[in-house]
Amino acid sequence: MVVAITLSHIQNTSGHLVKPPPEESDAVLEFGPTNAQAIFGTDARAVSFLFVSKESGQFEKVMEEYRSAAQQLKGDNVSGL
Amino acid sequence: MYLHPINSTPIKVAFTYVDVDSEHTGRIMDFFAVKGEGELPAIRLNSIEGGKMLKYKLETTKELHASHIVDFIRSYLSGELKPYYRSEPTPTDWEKEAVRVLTGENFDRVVKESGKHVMVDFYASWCVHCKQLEPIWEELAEKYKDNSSVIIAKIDAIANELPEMDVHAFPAIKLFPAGGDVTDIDKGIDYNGPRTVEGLSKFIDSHIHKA
Repeated sequence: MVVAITLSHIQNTSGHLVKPPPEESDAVLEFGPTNAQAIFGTDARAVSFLFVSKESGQFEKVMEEYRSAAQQLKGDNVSGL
Repeated sequence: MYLHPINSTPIKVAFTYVDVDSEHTGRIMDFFAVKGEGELPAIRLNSIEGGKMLKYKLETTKELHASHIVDFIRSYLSGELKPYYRSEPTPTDWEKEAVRVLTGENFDRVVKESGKHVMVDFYASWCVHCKQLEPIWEELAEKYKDNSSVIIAKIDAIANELPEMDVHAFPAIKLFPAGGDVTDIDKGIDYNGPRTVEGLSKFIDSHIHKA
């Protein structure tokens, strides 16, 4: 079975899609009070959270690794599900 | 972004990040029991399986690489990962006061395996009714201090997750009898009577005499 990753389209409980601007369509969403409910109410099987300090020097590097992981997982074949 | 393989539903995993410097992140950090600085950057996964929220944790090394995250999520998807639950560390003096202090770590040992009748106050730090119960609970514990078959205890049910317990409102008061019905030992017997030393004692005593 193939794993598809939603990076940006978070479906909330009322079925509305929370769409980011087009230029961020493949972005990793920042979790915050405005989208917390939508993120927890998503129809995704799981939500991954990266906890990171924006002010820390490693922010860009860590985000790059995170995005790269999401890209690698896209289209993954997982057996045993 | 969805991939639609023939005859199968795509599995979706959403990716978000939390800026720990933002003022709004306290609750989500508490939810995942991310302690801060020393643990960052940290990766957690929240999944909803069978209507239950389960949390998974990537044990991080110093540097976080994409490959760690990929391996972590793959092992989650293949069912190899075990969820984790929040627990406070058990204080070294948990037996010092008449009211014993329970945590996720010592709960089963004290409540289910001690062979005693254990009356537990499941509280939340922000709950007003829980605060009101505190002095009554202390008095109750004093009363049973010399009764070797009874333990009066309390647990912060927010900081310590007990997946098998049905705690829907705070404070939740449950008696875990020594012996008797297996369900009672596992789940406890709910106390819904008046929150007075008298009412609580009556309840405890009636179950002691049953056993």
